[in-house]
Amino acid sequence: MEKEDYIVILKKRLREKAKQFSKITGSQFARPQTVIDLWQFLSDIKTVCALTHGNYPMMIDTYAGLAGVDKDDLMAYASYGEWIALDRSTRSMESDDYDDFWGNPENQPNILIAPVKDDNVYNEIELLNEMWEL
Amino acid sequence: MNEDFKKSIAKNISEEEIADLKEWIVTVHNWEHPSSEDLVKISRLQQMILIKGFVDDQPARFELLDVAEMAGLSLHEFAMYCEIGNWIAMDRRFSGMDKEEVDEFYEGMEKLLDEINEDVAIEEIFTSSMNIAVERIDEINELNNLFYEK
Repeated sequence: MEKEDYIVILKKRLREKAKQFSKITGSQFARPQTVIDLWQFLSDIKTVCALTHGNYPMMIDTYAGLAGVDKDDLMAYASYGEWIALDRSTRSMESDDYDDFWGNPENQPNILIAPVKDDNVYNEIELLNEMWEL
Repeated sequence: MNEDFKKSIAKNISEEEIADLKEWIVTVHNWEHPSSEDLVKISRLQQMILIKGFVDDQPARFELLDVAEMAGLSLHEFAMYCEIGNWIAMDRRFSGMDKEEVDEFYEGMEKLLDEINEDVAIEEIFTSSMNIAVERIDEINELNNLFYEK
């Protein structure tokens, strides 16, 4: 798959998700699964941002508007969603593994941080870019 | 005032657990990188202090300020961590339920909120609590400004 095709697919998925969010009711936003979905939505925005070297705050603004969600609410919900997702993936760990995971600052939630050189998202995207160039 | 309502939520308070959590909070050295369990515990402490304040008809804000100080957290950080902890705790609670049970939970919550809105006495208490909270936020903002000016 070409890089541009991947970006098109991600953007299509973002628009579809935005449409779904724009239809849900207020009480559904109070559900953990919804905030996890919003975190995944913001993760896709972050990936598109890194792939296109876009402006993260502006992209959040744009897609929040499409989803009919206040930008600050989207960022807050996505942050809660990331914490919940990390808790889900660690809550059945042995005590030592759990402590090791949470004791490592690199594993802390970072969805709100724009991709910058040498961070995890940036490196993953660079790896993808290298794969596309091969 | 609806005493039955107060009695029903008073069941959720455990003075012993509050004391235990206060002892625990001072043992957490690194609030820069808390675990999800840390956040669940701190939010549990906040919830119980808030409920106790409501049941005793006394403002909980000073006790919460003390707890934030014991943890070495700013009020903003404390409130943020408690909020995240509440979400995690809620998700843990739902993890053992199927979709229908979760739907029932939210239907029950909406019903309870409707009942609260229809009960003038309880609504007055909540309105009063909200007004106190707004006043407190203004006070905190003033204090923060003073600190930052220094």
